[in-house]
Amino acid sequence: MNSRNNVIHVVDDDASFRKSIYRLLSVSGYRVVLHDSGDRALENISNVDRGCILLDLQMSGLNGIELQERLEKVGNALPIIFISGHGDISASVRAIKAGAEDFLTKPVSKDVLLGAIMRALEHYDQGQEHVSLINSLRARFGTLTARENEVFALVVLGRLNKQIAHQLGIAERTVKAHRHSVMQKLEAKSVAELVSIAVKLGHPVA
Amino acid sequence: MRFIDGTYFLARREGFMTQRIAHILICLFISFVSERALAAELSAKSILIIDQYDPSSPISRPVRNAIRSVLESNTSVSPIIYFEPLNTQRFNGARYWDINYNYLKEKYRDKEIDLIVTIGPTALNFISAYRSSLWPSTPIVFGLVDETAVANPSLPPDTTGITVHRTFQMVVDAAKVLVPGLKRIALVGAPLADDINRRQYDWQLPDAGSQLEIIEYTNLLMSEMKQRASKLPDHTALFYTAMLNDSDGKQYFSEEALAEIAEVANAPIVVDTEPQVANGGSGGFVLMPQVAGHELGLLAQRIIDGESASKIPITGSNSVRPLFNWRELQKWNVNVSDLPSGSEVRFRPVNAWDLYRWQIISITIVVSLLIAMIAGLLFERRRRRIAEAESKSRLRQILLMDRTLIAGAMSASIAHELNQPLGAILANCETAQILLKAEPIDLNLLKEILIDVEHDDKRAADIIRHLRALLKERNEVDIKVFDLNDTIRSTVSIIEPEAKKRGIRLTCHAAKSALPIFADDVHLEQVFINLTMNAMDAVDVARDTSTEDRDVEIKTALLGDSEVEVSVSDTGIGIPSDKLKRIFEPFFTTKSQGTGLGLSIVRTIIESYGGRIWAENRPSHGAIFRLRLPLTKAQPS
Repeated sequence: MNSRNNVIHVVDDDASFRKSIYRLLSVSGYRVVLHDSGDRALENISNVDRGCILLDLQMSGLNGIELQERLEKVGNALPIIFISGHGDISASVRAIKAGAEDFLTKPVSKDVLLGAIMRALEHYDQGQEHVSLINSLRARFGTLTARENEVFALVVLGRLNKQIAHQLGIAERTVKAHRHSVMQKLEAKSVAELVSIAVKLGHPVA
Repeated sequence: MRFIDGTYFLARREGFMTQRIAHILICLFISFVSERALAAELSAKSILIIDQYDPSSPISRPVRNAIRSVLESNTSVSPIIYFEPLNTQRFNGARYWDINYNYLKEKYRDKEIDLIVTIGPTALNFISAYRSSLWPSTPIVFGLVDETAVANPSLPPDTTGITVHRTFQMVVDAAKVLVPGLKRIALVGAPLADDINRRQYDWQLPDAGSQLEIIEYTNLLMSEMKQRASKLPDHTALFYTAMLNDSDGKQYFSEEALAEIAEVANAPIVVDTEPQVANGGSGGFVLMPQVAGHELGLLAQRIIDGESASKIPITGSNSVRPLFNWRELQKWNVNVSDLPSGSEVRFRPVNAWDLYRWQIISITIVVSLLIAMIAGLLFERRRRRIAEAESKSRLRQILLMDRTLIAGAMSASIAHELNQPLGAILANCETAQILLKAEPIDLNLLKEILIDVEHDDKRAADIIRHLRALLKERNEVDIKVFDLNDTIRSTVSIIEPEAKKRGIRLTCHAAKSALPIFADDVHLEQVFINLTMNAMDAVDVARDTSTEDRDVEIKTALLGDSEVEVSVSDTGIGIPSDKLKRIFEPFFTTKSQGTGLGLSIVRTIIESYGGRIWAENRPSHGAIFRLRLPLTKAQPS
C-alpha cells in the first residue's frame, strides 16, 4: 500500500505534541496535515484524499467531540482517532458511540498509533469500496427502461414470469426478454445476485 | 475657744519683776479687749485654774489641757478659763505669796470667777489661805494632792477635790518586780522632805526600812549622784523622786536630771509620774497627769452645772496606774508577764503589723489579687499561645487539605497537562529510533528532536514542581516580598489545563507595574486558585442556561500606591443577593459537592495579611470577587 497518498490530519492545540506526531508519521511514510484548533480543522479538512483524523479530545475552543459532530454534519467520512491526554471514560464512550474509529491515550506508542491509523485507513477503504459499488449499481440501474424497472421490481419480489406477464398484461415471452435485458444491464448472473443488488439499492425484496 | 493664758513664765534666771510688770501690762490689755466679748456671752462661766507647777512642766500641761477639753466639750457655752501658774517649785516664801495675792486681786478686780480649780497641794494651800479675801463665795475644786496632804478641817468651805493615792509601798512593790530578790532601794533626787508632792513617802520610809535597806543619795552633786548610781550593789533598785537643783544649786528640769542618771545607772529606776517613764524611768505606779486632769475637769463640770461643792465628797483619784518602759524592762531582763496586773508597757517597739495592720492587709489583698490576676493573665496567655499554635497548625492542615482537594479536582487536567509533554517525548524518541535505522541518518532532525525532548522534559518537570509546591505540607510559613503578578501568572498556569478541559476561557489582565506584597505566596496562590475554581464551577452550572460566553477573568489593579485590588469575575450563575455575605462563612456552600471551606479559607488568608475580600454580582450575569491587599514598600527579592 502506498501510504504517501494518505493524508493524516492531526488536530491538537499542543504545538510540541503536534510537531512530534508530525515527525513520527512523516518518517513512517504518511503525509501529515497539522491543525492547531478544532475550528481550523473544520475549515480545512476535506475528504478528497484517503486518510484519517487524529483528534485531541481537550482543546480550547471547539473540542474534539464537538468537532466530530460538526464533521459528521458536513458529511465528512474520514475516520477519527481520538487521542486524549487523560483516559476520560465518559468522553471515550461518547466518542465511540458517535462513530470514532479508536480512542488512544497520551503518551501513545508508535506501534499502537500506526496500528490504529492502519485500521482506520482500511475501514476508510472498505467504506469507500462500498460507496463506489453502490454508485456503479445506481448508474447501471439508471439505464433500465421503465418496463425493465417494473419487471426488476417484481422479479426480486420472487414473482414467476407467468405472474409478472399477467400482472403487467404482457406476454410471458416479452417478460423473459425484459428479464434477460435487466440481468445483462445489471451484470447479474443469477436471480440471487439480482436480489442482492436490489438489497444494496434499497429495494423491497422477497 | 476662749482660753486666756494670762501669764507665761519663761524666766527662770532673769529678773522676776521686769517680767511681772510686762505680764501685768499684757494682761490688762487682754482683759480690756476680752471685756467686750464677755458682754456678748453673759451666760459664759469663768473658771480660774491655779497651778503650782511650772506651766511648761510635763505635769502641768496635760492636766490643764485635759481640764480644758472636758469643760469645752461638755458645755453649750464655752467657759472662760483663766490660768495662773504659781511655779512654787522654784518660787516660794511668804512674800511671794503676798505678791501673788496682790497681783490676783488687782488682776481680777472686775472679773467674776465662778469656780477655782487648783493643781497641786501648794496651789490648794495658797487658795485656802487667800480665798476668803479674794473670792469668798467661789467654790474650789482641787486635784493632784496626795491623800495624806488633805486634812478636812483645814479646807475652806465649799471645797471639794480628788486625792492621789501614792505610797512608798507602791514604790517597793514596783522595785520588787524590777529587781528580783530586792534588798535595797537607793533614793536619788531631791530629799523627800523637801518635795511637797512626795512628803508622804518620808513618813512611810521607816515601815519600808524594816524589810529593806534604804540608801539616800539625795542632796548630792549631780556628778556624785551619777557616780553612785553607776556603782550600786546587786539587788538594788533606784527610786527617783524629783530634782530641780543639785546640792551645788545647779538647776535642772526634773526629767532632764532623771535622764542623766538613768544613762549611767546600773539598776532600774522606779518612778512615780508618767513623764518620768519616758525619760529613763523603768516604771512604777505613776501619776497620769492627763487622767488626773480629766477627772478634775469632770468634777469642775459638775459644779459649773450647778452642784454645790460642799455636797460633793472628796474622792480618790484613779490616775495612779502601773506603767513600765519596755526598753528598760529589756535592759534589766524583766519579764512583762511578771508585771503587776493591769500594767501598761510603753515604748514597746511597735511592729509594722500593729501600726499598719489594715494597710498591710489591704495591700496584701491588693497585691495578692494583682499576682492572681497576673498569674491568670499569664495562664490565659499561655493557653492562648497554645490555642493559637493549635489553630495555626489546624489552619495549615486545612490549607493543605484545601490544596489537596483542589489538586484532586484538577487531577484529570493535571494528568492531561503532564501527558502532553510525555506524549511528545515518546513520539519524538520513536521517531529518532526510526531515523537511526535510515540511511543516511538525518542528523539535523535528530538534533531538533533532542532539543524538543529536553524542552518537553522540562515542561513536565515544571508541572510536577508546581504540583509539589501546591501539595507540600509546610510547617512554617515562608513570608517574603514578591510580585503579586507572578503569583497570578502561576495560578493561571495551574488552572489553565482545567479551564481548557471545561471549555472555559481563562484570561488574565495583570497591572503593568510590579505589585510587591509581603506574604506567603503559596497562600495567595491558593486564594486565587480557589476563587478561579469557584468561578469555573459557577460557569459550569450556568452551562445550560447561559449563552455561549464561558469566561473567567482575573484582573490586578493598583489602587493609589499602597493597595492592590484583584478581581476574579465569571459569566456564571451569580450569587443570590442574600448569600453574598454568608458565602465566606465556614461550611456554607451553595454547591452540591463542596466542603464550604474554600471561601472561608480565602478570607482567613486575606485578612491575615491585612486585606479584605467581598463578593458582588455583575450587572449582566455572573459574579465578581474582589480583594484588596496592602502593598509593601520593599522591593521583591
